[in-house]
Amino acid sequence: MDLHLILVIVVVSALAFDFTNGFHDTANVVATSISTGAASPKAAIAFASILNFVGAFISIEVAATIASDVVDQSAISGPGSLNVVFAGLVGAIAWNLITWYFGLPSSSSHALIGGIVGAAIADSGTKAIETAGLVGKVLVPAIVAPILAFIVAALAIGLIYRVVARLRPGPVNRGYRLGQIASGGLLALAHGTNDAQKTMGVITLALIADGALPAGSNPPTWVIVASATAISLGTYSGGWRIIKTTGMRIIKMDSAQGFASQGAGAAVIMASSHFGFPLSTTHVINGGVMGSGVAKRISAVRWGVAGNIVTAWILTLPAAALIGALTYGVTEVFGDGAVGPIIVSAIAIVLIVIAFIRRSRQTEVVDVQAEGA
Amino acid sequence: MDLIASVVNWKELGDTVIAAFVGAMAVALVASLGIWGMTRYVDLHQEGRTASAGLALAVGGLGLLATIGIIVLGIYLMVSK
Repeated sequence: MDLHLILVIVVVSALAFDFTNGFHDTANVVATSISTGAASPKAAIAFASILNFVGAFISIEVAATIASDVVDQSAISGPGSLNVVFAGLVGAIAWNLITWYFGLPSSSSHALIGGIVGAAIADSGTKAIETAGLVGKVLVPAIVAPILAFIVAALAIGLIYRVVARLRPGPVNRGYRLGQIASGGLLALAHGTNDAQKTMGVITLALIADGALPAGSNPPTWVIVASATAISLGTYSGGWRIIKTTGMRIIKMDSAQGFASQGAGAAVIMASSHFGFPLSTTHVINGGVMGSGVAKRISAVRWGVAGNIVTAWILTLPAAALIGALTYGVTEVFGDGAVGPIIVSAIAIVLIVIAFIRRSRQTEVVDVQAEGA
Repeated sequence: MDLIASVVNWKELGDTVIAAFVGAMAVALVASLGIWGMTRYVDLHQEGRTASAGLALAVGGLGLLATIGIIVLGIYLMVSK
């Protein structure tokens, strides 16, 4: 009974993470469409929310990677194994909310993987880590993907400008704004295929650790539907602070740049999902945004803002791992039962509410100051 | 470095790079041709150059159809795995 209670807590935590993932990554998906005027904020977010839901059903390759190629399933199958998954999720959620609080578009995916790895090491040492899978399927693609998106977006915008160079700008801008509806939709679909699957993978890992599923199983249908729903609702709730950073502060872009960056991001994420690479969609999309900006003019990219984002990227894996390990340590103080996760969940909920209240008060002050200026 | 070389599936990673590059560049090209064709059609039509306008319209239409085709193909390839 106690073990099943922990499983319920883990599944709820995973879906909460999925919600924060959608909430956090809304900016990545819709920021360029909004900043170029291709879509109104409400329409862009609603459209992205629906396509995130649909995207979650397209593939399960990434879920399989998360469930079996990051941590050794047999190493975390003993008593307390569900606490490992729970602590990893808390590490990821905490880091997502910290970066949301400061308006930084860091990677939810790296936070999740960092949290799980940190908690697994705290439980069983480094032998719990699937080094080959972690390096080959997560770390190397994590470095390659944003660079690829940067290069592809830069080349794509170069090609676009060459084709439409002598045309009147008005109809061209209108054409690419229409194109952004398609490229933005494709990006949202791609985001659903990669990011929703990470939660499916974690829940599947928890079900295997609980003994509810045999090792090597694919996610059950209810897990796919629940994950798709959570990320979709999170996307609909939106993360306005990060939309401003991604869509307005990195570069000021025209509609052709928005189209190129979204197209490059969608192509990289979809190709990666096809081969089961759990990428950071945040890194890829921001790589595309910078690539489309730098191709026009190097000084168009606000490198100070870009530098802050890179710093957050570098910190994400170790910070989430540390929080995951510490959380595991706290839960273990109360033994392998459900008491530890219940206490940690209660503390986490209180801290989240405090963070939301503080943030909303600060936003109100900024709004009032802006109105007065 | 040896560890990285031995654990990375370079074929899958290479295929990912090629698929992303080809897909994104193809969409950028055909969508731009579509926009080029439609914009030129309006301009040429206003100038009364009917034959040239018809040709531009054909390029534009084909470009937009090809854009949709590439997107549908990409989604189909993902679903069919």
